[in-house]
Amino acid sequence: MKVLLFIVLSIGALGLRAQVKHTISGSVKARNTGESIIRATVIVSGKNIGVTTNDYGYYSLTLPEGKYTLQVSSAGRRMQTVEVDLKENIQLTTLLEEQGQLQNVVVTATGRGRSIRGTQMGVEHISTNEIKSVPVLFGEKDVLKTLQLLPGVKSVAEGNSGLSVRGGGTDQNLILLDEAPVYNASHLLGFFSTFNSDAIKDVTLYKGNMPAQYGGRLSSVVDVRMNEGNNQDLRVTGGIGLISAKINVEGPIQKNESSFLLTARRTYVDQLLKLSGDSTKNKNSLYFYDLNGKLNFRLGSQDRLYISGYFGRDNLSSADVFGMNWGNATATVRWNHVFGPRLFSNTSLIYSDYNYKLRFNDNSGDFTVKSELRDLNLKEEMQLYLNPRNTVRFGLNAIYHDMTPAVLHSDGSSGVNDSAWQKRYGVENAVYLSNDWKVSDRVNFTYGGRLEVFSAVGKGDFVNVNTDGKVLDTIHNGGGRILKTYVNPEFRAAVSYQLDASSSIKAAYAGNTQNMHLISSGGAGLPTDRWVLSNNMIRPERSHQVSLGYYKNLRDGKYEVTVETYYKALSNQIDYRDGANVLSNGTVETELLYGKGRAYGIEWLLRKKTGKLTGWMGYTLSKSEKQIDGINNDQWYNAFQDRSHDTSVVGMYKWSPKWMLSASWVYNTGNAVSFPSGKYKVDGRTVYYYSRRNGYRMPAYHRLDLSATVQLKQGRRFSSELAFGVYNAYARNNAFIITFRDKKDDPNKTEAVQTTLFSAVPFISYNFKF
Amino acid sequence: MRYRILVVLGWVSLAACQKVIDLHLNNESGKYVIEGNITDLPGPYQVKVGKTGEVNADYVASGVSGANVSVRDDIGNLEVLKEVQPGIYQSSVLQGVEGRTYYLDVAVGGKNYTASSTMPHRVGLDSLYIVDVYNFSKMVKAVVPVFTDPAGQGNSYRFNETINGVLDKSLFYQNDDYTDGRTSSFSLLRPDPDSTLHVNDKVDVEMQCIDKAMYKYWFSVDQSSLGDGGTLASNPVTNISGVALGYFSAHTSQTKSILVK
Repeated sequence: MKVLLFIVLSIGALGLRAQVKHTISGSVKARNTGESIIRATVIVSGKNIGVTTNDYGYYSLTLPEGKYTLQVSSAGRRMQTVEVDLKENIQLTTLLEEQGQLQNVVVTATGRGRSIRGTQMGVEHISTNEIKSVPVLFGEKDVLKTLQLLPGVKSVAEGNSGLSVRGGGTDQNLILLDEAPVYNASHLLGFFSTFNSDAIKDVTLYKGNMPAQYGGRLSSVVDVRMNEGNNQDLRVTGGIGLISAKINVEGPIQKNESSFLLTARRTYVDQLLKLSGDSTKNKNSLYFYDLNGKLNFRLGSQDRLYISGYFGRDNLSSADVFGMNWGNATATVRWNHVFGPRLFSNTSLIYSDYNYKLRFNDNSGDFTVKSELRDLNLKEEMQLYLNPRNTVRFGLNAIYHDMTPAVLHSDGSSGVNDSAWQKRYGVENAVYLSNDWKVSDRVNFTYGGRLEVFSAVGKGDFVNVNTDGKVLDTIHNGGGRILKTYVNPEFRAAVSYQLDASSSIKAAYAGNTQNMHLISSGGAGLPTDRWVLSNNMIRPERSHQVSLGYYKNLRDGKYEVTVETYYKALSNQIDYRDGANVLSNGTVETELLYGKGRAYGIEWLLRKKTGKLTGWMGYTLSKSEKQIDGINNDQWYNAFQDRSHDTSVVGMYKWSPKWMLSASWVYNTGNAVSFPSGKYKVDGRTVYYYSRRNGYRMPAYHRLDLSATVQLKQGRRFSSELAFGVYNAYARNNAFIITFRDKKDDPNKTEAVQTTLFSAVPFISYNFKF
Repeated sequence: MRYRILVVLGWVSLAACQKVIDLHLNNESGKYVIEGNITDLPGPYQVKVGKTGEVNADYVASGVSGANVSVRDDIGNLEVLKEVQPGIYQSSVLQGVEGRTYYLDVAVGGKNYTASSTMPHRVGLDSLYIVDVYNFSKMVKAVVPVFTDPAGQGNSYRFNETINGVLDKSLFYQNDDYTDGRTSSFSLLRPDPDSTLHVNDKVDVEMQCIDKAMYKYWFSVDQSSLGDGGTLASNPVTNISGVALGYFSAHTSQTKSILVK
């Protein structure tokens, strides 16, 4: 810590001049709700100086004494001009009004001409407006599925909210809800994400070149921030759809000072099953619910406290034979403190829990399997606004992981013994430092680093395994003792060069480390997929990504063109041995193989940001491969998520003040897949012969979704709307899986069978607000 | 894999649809397949040597003649098997005995393939009964084999279900990782959600006590080699050394029958 401070202060010294300077600091908020605004810009008129608000709407700007005009703006809101006579440090709270009454103009969250300035690459912001307008399966507005329409981000399966970012695995995304990691970000086996879009304020996706404050996953960070709650008026919004109903209540506890938010959602697919009249379906249940809650308080002028939480649960069962329920719970307490006009601090204490419970019946009795993963996480971050040219961020993060892989319990009458796999513990510590340096009017440079220190700790037996998967010996590690520590420095650097007023080029490098690994059977993933920590055998996954990009605003910021290319090298990647059985015993290490990966590609994005018609077109050309000794004859093979071409077109059209129409179309190459190259019989069964891992392709996938929203009532006290549309409008039979089987009437023949999950699926929902 | 896809499909079957398609596959036929079984029942025992065929073509039992096939045990008995049909090699004097380890040697196409398998001690199949049970979304009838696992881990089992004289192609296998020393009452629930036993079906259940390597073999066949379309598709983990497909299993075998009422 001392070293860090020293570095910070040395950098600070660079900025010190004799001139008398003062600091303007404060926050930017929405006038109607009091919600703080993230990434609002504060620009000093006539000078090429500006600052962006942080995740809590805070900013600080240090300038020489004098008179200034500040232009405060944020996408979708009217710009506010503030005159300042700077003779001393001043505090300023600016309230911004929504632009264009009642959504007559649709403006996306990405502000005009923003993306060409900063150094950040591979970043996407999704606004709640976009989430609301883009049509998705069952009409359930969904953050993660909207992200999947962006270049470089892919869905892992039909209708699935799992993400593959720039060729990475689904476990390589750090998904944060108010800073708390969400280990299983999906409901109902992936068809819904855990994020209720009504509670969400802002979503930022970093595709690999994440800033130094983030770490722990190789591919991406999805940073989801919840609304704080309206501190002006009590508001109730809600919706009723074919699949789910939801309600959102928010309001002031004390006007301007504190507020609350409570959101609840429940699906009722199973209620529909009950209506179906099929007596056997009545015995099944299938639903999820989730709750979001948040409180925030202003404690004097320098302090703010936020308490937020999430709780979600899925339930799936088939009569008394089988049951499964799973879910996440997170809680975050955050304390903002302003140490002085130039130093902003946030302290977060975070709890995150993921667990599942399975229930089986073996005709004699029941037995259950429980598994749980718990994190306790402390974060401290400081933002030092040194001068208009330098902003320094530094902090630390300490996470304690407590894993209970499985506890098997019998009711006594089943033929199963009580048993448990050993618990596993880990401590993940990190310190980081980065500086945003405005080198000149044209050049911005962000540089920094992060030191990740992971230790596998605690009581347990750990095996050493040879390359054939045989156990060599066992290490008995005592309670409270460190088994193994890995120290990984990660460097991050990004530079932007502004070519002219409307275009720039950027380059970036980032190193990443991952110590939590999901041992998944690939593909869409199951709630029971197992997380493991790095240990004596499983080494931290590493990645190095370089990227280069070109950014251009056209026609006064109406359009924006982005081209980014990347190359990512990965090491210590994990895959199953052939025939691996991860359920047979607690020792997963004997079933794993390790190797390397590489992913590269180029992403084009054209956005239209203003006007009646908004939206984007994206195209990605990419490759993702792995090389693991023991798989595919030790040769490179396509990763499951490898797709050469990926295209998406999204359009939202404001037809009239009442009607909003939207459409999205996607086209992509099929996933890499292993199909057989021969067949034979053993003991009367047809068995297939495989020669290459993922050597084939699924058929190309394409789909058009349409939706329309009509305002029914629009009033000060009550407004309502009806949204309807159709998923897969031209009923394309996309292949979900292709299986092989003996022909029924001629078992010597083989047939390939393609399963399509969804044909055209219509949806309708009614939303209200008062 | 099989289990998971069933879960997903079972629940989403409201909307899912299936169709048979034409696929172009790069066939690599002609890989050796060896299949040998030794049991505690009276012989003769057979070892089959064949080759893989093309996926899209009719399955043809492509026996490979002229192989040298011998089986020996751990007390010095050795028998060279005689080719009785193309690709089928048969013993005449060998008798499988519980607890003994058997070694298979096959010389074919200029290469040698070897395997060993230890016949476990027999665990008795006590009885069979029929249950009505939910299989995802349907009530079905299934057979339950009842047996008691002996104390001490390491036992593995396999079941073959023959319905009205026709072998059912589902694979049933289990081990005692979580059921050591207990009486088993898991039903032989077929993965096809539409399959059920019917009243008056005659069901024969063969129970095999198999060794650990054969458990791994059947497990890996089921998980990754039955064409389920999973991402883990691969060849099963064979106990034959040298690059060949198939297995060599020394196991006990006993069969009981039941009439579904």
